[in-house]
Amino acid sequence: MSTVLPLIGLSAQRHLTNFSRDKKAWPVYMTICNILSRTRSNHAKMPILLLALLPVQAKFTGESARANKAQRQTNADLLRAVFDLVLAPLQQEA
Amino acid sequence: MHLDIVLSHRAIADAASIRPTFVRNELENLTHSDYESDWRLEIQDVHTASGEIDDRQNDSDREDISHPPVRVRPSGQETIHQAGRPHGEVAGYTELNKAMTDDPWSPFSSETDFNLASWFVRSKIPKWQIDAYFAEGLGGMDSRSLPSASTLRQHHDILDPFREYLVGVDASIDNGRNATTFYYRNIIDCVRYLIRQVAYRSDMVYTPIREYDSSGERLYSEMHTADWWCDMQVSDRS
Repeated sequence: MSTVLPLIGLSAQRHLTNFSRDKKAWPVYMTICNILSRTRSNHAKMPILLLALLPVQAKFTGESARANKAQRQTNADLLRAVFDLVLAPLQQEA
Repeated sequence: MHLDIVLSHRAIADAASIRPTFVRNELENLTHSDYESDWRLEIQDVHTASGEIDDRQNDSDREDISHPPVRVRPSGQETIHQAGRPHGEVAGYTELNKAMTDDPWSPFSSETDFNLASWFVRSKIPKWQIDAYFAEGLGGMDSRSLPSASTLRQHHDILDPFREYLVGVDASIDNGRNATTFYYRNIIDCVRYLIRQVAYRSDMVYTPIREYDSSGERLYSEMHTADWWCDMQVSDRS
């Protein structure tokens, strides 16, 4: 016997401040589809939980991330490693 | 846009002429949506276009009204035998309820203290003002469970019985060049936290259903009315 628990993940860049360079946060949120959408979309009922704050990789000196292939690769690897870690409990549970 | 949502919208637009009960019930819940892109708003457009505006006389203060679990009443509904039936009591649920009824104001010592703390939080009184309130003896001289703003904060943290589910950890990733730290929570514990919220109880679904309108046309609204849920849950896997 089993029950389905569909998960929704959400993410957006959040601008924090213009001071001390532009600081940004990369929050990842989650919620479950078992909650009917009228509650799930109601901010006051707080159905969406913060799951993780993604790390912001230190920039390589000189070039921007867009221009630097190595930087892009590092960022992608880091993101992959983080999501492997964060989502690992789901694999153990299934 | 989600596939289910597209399907449901089309189904409703097609059935607008015969006006099923389904549309009416959706309309009553319109105020719950904060999003302009919400598909229910498009239903409203379909509806007003046909000159039928009659269900919205008291829409203003509907935000806090609790609704019965099933808001959609299509004319036909097909459930799967024995799907979603409860297995039994959740461990610790009775004890938790008993503790709450035995000492409803815990961790505060009385209703007055609870109301005072509640007012502090709701009115967004700053910490130093709360401390000043108690330092100047405005709260009376009798012993209270609330001597300062820091104890208010502690009590506030204790109030959520499932707070331990949301404890996060700081992790560090080192790729050889430099280490970066980040914060995350256990995703399974987050799910447990959401499932255990009594406030969502009337809006939780565990059972897939199939819904039809009066002409036998399949209706899709929430995720559990689509086939995927049914295929996943009611399968051979035991």
